[in-house]
Amino acid sequence: MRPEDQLDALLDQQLSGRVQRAAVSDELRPLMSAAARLDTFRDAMPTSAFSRDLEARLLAHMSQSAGAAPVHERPSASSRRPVEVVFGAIPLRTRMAWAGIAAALFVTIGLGALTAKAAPGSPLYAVRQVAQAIAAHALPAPSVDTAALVAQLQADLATYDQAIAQRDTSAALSALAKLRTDDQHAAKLIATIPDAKASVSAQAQLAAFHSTSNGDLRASLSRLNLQGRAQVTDLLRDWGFTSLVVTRAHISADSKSTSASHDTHGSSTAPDVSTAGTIVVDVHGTGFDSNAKVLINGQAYSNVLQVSSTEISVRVEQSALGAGQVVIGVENADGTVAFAPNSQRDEEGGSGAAVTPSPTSKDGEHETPSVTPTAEISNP
Amino acid sequence: MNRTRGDRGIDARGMASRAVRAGAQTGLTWPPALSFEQALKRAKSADQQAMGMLYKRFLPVVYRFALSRIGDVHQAEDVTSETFFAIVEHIGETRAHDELTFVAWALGIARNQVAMHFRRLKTRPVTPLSSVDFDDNPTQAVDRDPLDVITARESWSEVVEALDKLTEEQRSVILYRCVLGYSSEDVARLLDKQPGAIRALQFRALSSLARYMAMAGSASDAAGTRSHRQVREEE
Repeated sequence: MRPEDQLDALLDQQLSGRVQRAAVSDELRPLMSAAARLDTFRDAMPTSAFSRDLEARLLAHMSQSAGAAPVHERPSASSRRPVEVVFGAIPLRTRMAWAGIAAALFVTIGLGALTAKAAPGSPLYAVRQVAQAIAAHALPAPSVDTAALVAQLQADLATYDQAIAQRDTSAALSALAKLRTDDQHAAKLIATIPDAKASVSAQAQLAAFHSTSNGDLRASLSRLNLQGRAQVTDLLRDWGFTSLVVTRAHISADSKSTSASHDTHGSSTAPDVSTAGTIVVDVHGTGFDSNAKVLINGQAYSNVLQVSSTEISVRVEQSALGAGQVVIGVENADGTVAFAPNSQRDEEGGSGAAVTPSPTSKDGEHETPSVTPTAEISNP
Repeated sequence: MNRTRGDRGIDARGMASRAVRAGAQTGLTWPPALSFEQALKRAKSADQQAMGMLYKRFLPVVYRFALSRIGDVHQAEDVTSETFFAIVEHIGETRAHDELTFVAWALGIARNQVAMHFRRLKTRPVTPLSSVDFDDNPTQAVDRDPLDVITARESWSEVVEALDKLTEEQRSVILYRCVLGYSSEDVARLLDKQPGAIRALQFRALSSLARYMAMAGSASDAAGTRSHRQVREEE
């Protein structure tokens, strides 16, 4: 047994008054003697008078305290600290939550103010951009009044019809240009409608307008000059009612011709075209019908060598090209017209020239369109 | 303190004979009529009867602790009194749930009161009561052998001084074990330590105590002998 345990056992015996002196070793004897010196305290008792007096005073104090403020009673409102008076019985956790919310709001508002003023290069600028993007997505899309848009288009069409009826080609073309601009604007707005169902409905209204306008526009073709007819054709092509388009024209010497053209150089001057013999004009594009005619400088030629939906060829006198720039186009039987953006003389190394429709004369008759050469034309 | 000092006379040797033996048996056994837990619960609810039971049960414990730390009967009573007033004030706040945890809590209060007492002594020194006692209460001094009284006080003084030289842990173990009479297992619970650690502490503490008392005893032997002679010659 260890000395510590032996000492502990001896102390237990001493406390119970059963200690055996003989059992105490020499090592533990002084320790037990020291413990015995403490017996005087172990047996000490306060006097009975002191005990009674103290008990009486304690109980009196206890009853007095219980009368004034019971031990377990909460302090009265008047004795509470000001913060408790203000907040009453609100739990501490709730108060802490409120304080946290207030602090978060304060920080958010502060950061928001700083972000709104953030300049490029500032760390908050990226946050500002993100916030703007979110706001742009979060804002409701502008409402699209399809009926109003269609009404505007109908008004434009009515103006056009009135100008046609009055044979005012200039006013008709202005009205047509406005109709085209408004139509493109309406198509853009309708495309922004987020609701798929509403978008389909609006597109259906716009398509219905196009369908009804198709007849009016085709009926007006006969009253327009070539330029006006080309513009109407462009609009009808945009709406999908025709596919007529001329991509390029090719002027070549007729193999049967005995005379050859001579070269003419000049990028900004009218090309010089030989007038001797005949030439073949090939026009390429789409939407050519079987009765299509080739327009050369506003003059229609129907003596076609071959025609398909994508190519048409005519043989004409060289004099038909005239002096200066050449405008080549195609006229279908329904009156739709399209001009080539460029034509090319390809005999012995000839090059192309851009061809654009010329302004229309006021009387609406066919006129020779002006031609802006963009490249050198070399005659054979 | 509104106390009369006439009934206070207790000397060291007389204490042993007049101590209430039942109360001196410090194994905490509560009267079976009322469990300690019930008494504590009622005392927390300001039940005077329950509080009186707790007071009667733990008065010796607190008093012995105070006396062994101070070594003076009157000052020990003062500290005991202040300790019990503090207990009454704060009993509603204690987390004690059984006897041992209540004792630990009460002795913690007593320890604080002793510390406050010593602080007061430093700032406001008082005349030693041992010399005043005879003047205030000559009857008791006459009733008892003055030589015994002096010897007892000297003995207390030596023990208290030796106890003061121990560490706080050693002193607590010695007081709980040898003065208050708890088993080493109970002391371990009171001090939140392992019983083995308590036994080791106890061994070292008693070794130190024995050494200190031996040193003090040899130093005072000569002076003590002279004092005895003087008293008998005066008689």
